[in-house]
Amino acid sequence: MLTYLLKRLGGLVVVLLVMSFIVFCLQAIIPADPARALAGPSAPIETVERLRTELGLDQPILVQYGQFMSRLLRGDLGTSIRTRQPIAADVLRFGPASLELIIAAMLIGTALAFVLAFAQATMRRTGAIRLGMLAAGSVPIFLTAILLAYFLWFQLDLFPGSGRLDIRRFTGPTGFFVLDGLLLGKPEISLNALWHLALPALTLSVPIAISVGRSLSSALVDVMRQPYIRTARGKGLGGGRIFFRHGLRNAASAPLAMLGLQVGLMFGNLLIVERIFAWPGLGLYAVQSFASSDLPVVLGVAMVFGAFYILITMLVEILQSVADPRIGL
Amino acid sequence: MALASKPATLPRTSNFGWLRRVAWLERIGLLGVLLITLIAVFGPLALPFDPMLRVAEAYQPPGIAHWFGTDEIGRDLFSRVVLGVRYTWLPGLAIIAIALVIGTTVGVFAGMVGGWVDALLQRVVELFLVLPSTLIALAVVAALGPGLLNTMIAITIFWWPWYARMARDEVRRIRSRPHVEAARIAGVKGPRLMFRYLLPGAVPALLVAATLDVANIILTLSVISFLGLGLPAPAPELGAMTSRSVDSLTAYWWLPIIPALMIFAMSVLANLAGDGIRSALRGA
Repeated sequence: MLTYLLKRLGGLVVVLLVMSFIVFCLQAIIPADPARALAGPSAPIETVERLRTELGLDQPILVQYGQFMSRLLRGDLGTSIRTRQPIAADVLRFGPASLELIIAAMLIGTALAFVLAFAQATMRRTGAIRLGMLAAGSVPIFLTAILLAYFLWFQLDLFPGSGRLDIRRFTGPTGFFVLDGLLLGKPEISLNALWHLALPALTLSVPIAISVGRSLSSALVDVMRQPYIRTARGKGLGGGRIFFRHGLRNAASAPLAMLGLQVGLMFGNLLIVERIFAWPGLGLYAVQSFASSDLPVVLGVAMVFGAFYILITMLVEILQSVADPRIGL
Repeated sequence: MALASKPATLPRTSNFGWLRRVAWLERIGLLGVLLITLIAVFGPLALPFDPMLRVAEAYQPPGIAHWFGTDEIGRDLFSRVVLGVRYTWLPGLAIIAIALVIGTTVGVFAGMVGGWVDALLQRVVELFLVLPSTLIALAVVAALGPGLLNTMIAITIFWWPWYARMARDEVRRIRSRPHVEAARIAGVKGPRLMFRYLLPGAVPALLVAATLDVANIILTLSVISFLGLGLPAPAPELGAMTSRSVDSLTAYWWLPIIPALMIFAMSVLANLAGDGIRSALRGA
């Protein structure tokens, strides 16, 4: 286990090195002058030159890469051109909102995947379900968001479709508002936060539910046909025990891998969902930086998401080996 | 000889035998994909109105004069959507084609040569697999500057490794088959071995994967366009049209909904067609 973790951490370092290299290259090829961008268009030449020296932009490119890496190792992602704040501080400020949304979407997506897999396993008209899943898997994420917002927010007013809370300027100790409400002994805040989570999390969960559900149902169909399931039934085990201990556990590997992959594919959708539902997270932060071509922020957020995704991939592999010890760590 | 006395009556074969293996829903998909391609290529030549100019009152709901209504400055939405289909569909097909050519060439070559070339390719592909591709593609477009060409470059960079891996696996599978062995012994090598003997075996799997990917490409393109990183403002890109009008959803529902529905239609039909091609090739 320990050697596995060390090996994977080694891999993590390699991937982060490659990502940081890509990010550095992108920064180096932008046509715009970062010193000029930071100083503003009307600043005098001397200020721009002073900034250039301060930022080390007059150094050779390899020295710049060394400086970039040493800053990165100290957790310094650079400075935003738009807000003039250190990007790392902004990431800490907006990160919890996105993480809360991602976790909620993964939970809802997994639950829906189970529903879909059961529907496909037990219903007779699976053709209709298959077509429905194909259609649902082809919906652009903004159409899902718009339709949910239109019907459940504007028309029926069941769920709020904007922001994280009805209360303005709430800050909690962790930044996860559902958790903060409980920690501060105000369950009404937690409920309100959950209420606001519903629509964006549901939107994000649709692609997850479809692909994980598809993978889960085909894995379950395969496993439940195995002789050991018949043996278990023959020796008189109950249906639930057969399903969870013998069926689901053996079928878990491929759907888990799919769940991990979906997290990687979710980031693009996250930007759109946060934009439509005005969710103040990293996605919205990145979208606003696209609009003002604040490239350091885009690249910083890409680094953070990349690192997060790699951690998720590791977690998935650990879970896979828990479910199936034959997949050695 | 008696054998030659009478021409053998072969069972009646048709060139469309594959179509029988395709369910009717998948046939609709194939037909739809053909139709979309025709619209994308020829549609903009026969537009009812100029998509870039004000032709009527702003914010007219869908009606007889303007089938999809008019937008915030009175441009005809139908004409804009038809042009938008071209800007989404043709780049999507082009990305698939380029990624397929690059990936197949690299993959078949690595599978044929083996050794360190193969090992290197495997590492590169694994690296691409663990990177969050959509996000880096977005960062690449943001860095290179918004635009269709840059979007295509960014997506292609992250798309070809999958085809390379698939082509490589297929080639490893068929390289020990008798016909390849025989060709090798007969002295066939290099590009001829690669293209005449190895490539054809890898084509069906790649073709199915590529057609099923068209929908993914359309959705990825629409995400990039929605985030404002596609063609700049006056050009009618479907994702961008939705994005610009999403805040006026309650008042003028057709402005964001119709372009988004068009993207949905393209991706559903592409998915159905992909399933159809898979069923068609299953028996072949």
